[in-house]
Amino acid sequence: MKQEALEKVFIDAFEQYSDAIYRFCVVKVSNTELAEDMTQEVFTRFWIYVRDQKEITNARAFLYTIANNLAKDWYKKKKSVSLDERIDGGLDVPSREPGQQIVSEYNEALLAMGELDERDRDVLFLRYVEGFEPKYISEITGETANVISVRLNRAMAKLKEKMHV
Amino acid sequence: MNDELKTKEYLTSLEQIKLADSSRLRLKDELLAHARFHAVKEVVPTTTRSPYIKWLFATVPMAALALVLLVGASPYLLHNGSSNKQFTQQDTQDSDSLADAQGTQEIAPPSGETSTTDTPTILAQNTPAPTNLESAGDMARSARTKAAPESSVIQDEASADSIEMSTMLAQGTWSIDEHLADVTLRERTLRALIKKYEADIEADTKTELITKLDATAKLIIEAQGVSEAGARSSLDKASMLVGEIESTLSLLGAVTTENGLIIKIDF
Repeated sequence: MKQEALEKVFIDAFEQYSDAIYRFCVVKVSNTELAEDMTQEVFTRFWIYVRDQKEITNARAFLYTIANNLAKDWYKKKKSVSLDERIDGGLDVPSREPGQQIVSEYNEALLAMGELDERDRDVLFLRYVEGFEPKYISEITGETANVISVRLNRAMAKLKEKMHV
Repeated sequence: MNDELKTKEYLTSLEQIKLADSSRLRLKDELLAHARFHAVKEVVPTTTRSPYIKWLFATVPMAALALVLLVGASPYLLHNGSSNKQFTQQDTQDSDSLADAQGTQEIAPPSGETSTTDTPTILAQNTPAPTNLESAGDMARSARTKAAPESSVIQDEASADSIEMSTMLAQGTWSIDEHLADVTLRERTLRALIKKYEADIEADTKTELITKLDATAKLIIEAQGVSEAGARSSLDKASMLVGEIESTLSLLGAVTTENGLIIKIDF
């Protein structure tokens, strides 16, 4: 495949999945600037696979896997980010500018998510924000679908508790 | 409202997190530039490669092959064209012929026992002296013509560029001075070109290109006032850097060349 064709595949994937990957990164790191940088890095790494025409059976899952690994690296480097830092770091108003109530809702949701274990947060996000089935989530996290289902139930219970609903 | 439903609703609100339009555009541009900079190897246009590098890649393996044949197998090939006997023990009854063959050993070490580790040294000694290289090539060609006619056919099919550059070397027309002048001219032309199109080139790409140009300029300075081998080494490195810069520029748009130099880019 020629460069132009590969670029098209690459840019199409960016158009299609950049928002979802960015969202995933925001939930992971609770910082929009860092999430933008991570999104860029995810697609930069993705390009290497596209360019070398390596077989990618599911581009979407593959992109989430890269993002997940990048976030893990980030966590390793920055072991503890306090809740205050997360709030001060700012959860930017998104481009669509929804009403204050919605902004407040995702502040609350993000803060509560931030208190969860990373794996719990991932499954909740992928299941209820991105709408993935447990089997699909298992492709990204590398766990079995059964483990994902159990984790989902437990994570939901924890989140309810954190959000005091 | 059911607790779980409300929690899910909170979670669903996260769907509204999206990249800002300006950020999306910026990321897209930067990723596209990255993709072009780290492009598939096949798209690097050969026309923008330095003729010196082209010659280097074409000639060095052939010269190495010629030397290996000359050093190792020529005496046996001269004596006996049968390929099956080239590396077998010589019978004592062949001693006269062997002595004849050894008459050629003034120009070649005597046996096939020369270790392969010696070859780079021999090559390195011969490379800076074009005349030696050419004469060694002639001798090897002569030996192979006598012993194995099919080898000479292969030799005759060597690329035109390689022959041309060998001739230039033999005639001394591609001297260090000319190589220096060539690399200097290309470095200056590229610097002017990058300055001319600086508004059209992405900041990161421009920084990388200028870094390479500066490294090239440093190598050009280093190449002056040193030994021929030192100068050649510096100029080879400079030539490669210039080739990389030319390749990168050619990926930014349609390039127009004149006398092998990029003079215009249509973005």
